[in-house]
Amino acid sequence: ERADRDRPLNIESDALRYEERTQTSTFTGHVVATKGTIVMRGAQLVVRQEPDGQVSGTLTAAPGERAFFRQKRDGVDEFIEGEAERIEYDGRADRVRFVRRAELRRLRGETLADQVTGEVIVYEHASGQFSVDGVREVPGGGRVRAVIAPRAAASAPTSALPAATSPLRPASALGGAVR
Amino acid sequence: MKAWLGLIWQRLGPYLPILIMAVFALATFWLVRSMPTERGLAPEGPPSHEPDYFLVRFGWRNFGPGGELVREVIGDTLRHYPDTGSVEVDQAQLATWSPEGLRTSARARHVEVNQDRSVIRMEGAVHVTRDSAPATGPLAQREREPAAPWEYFSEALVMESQPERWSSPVAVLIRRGPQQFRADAMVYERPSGTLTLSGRVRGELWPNRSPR
Repeated sequence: ERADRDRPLNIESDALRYEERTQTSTFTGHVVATKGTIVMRGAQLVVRQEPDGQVSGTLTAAPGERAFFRQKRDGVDEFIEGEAERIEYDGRADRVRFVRRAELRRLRGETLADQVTGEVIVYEHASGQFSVDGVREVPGGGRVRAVIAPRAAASAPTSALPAATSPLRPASALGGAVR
Repeated sequence: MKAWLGLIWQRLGPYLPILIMAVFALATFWLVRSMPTERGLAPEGPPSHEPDYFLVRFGWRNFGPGGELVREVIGDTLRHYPDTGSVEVDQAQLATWSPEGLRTSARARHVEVNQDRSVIRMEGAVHVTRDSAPATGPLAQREREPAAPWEYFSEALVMESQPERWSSPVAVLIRRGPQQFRADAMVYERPSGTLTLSGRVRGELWPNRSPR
């Protein structure tokens, strides 16, 4: 949602430690943060707010678990859901970075459209694009696995597909059709 | 009989002043002995917690060596207790200025200050406002606007001065510019500039305005 940027970041947790010197807030224990349509859940959230009000944060999960991130895309009925051991949210750049055991899902309404996993996934909210970097040097290698569903017309619902078209035939057969 | 009396007077006459002095000395000794001792006068229980002096609708100011205002206290009533050396103030308004000129002001329905003024206990509609210096360190260079003051709201606050530490065992609301925090308890360590909140912490960080 474009409005997410201008919404307040609301955070609930068991404890907070604020360092005046670095002006950093560290929320710990059952952290739930919301900002417009953004929902983040994890064990610890370190937040810094710039003088102009923009916030950036690093969300980490409890050992063995993964932190969670969800955001609605602008103007379409699509949600992005992501999980990773560490999630870095940059409010100014409107970018989210999922690190280690990263997984990103794109849902149209309630149905799963795309799903990618890897070591590091970077999601650009403004464009809706994401990049997956399998980081080779990590022991065991970071395999990229992506399942991309065929995209219907950008925002047209699937029911608006044209009537069933005849199956495509290899080029060599086309020549025959000319006779 | 007269001759006999004259003989006695003649013999004792020269010793009469000494005799009179002796009588006086004995009388004084008896008087001292019969006076109640101080132990006898002291009350049985511990000293009662009664004020020995009080001020009504008062205000006082402390000035530093250079004449600068350092501390100001205004209140409805002030009571001083000799047994504990403590002072209590009702409807108090306090203000202090740090050497750098940063002002801290506080208001509360009831304030108690211990004997060596190292602990201030505030209760009832506590509201503290504290100027804060711009953050130090590399980040500070990027911060143009002066750091927003801290505002603190609660029903209780304990301010200790050695080392400087503020704490509250009850619910607090803290505001600073576009940020607002609520929690069930708070500890603020001034030397390290660390604020620790615990118990149902709720933070609100507004992008561009204060959370009013």
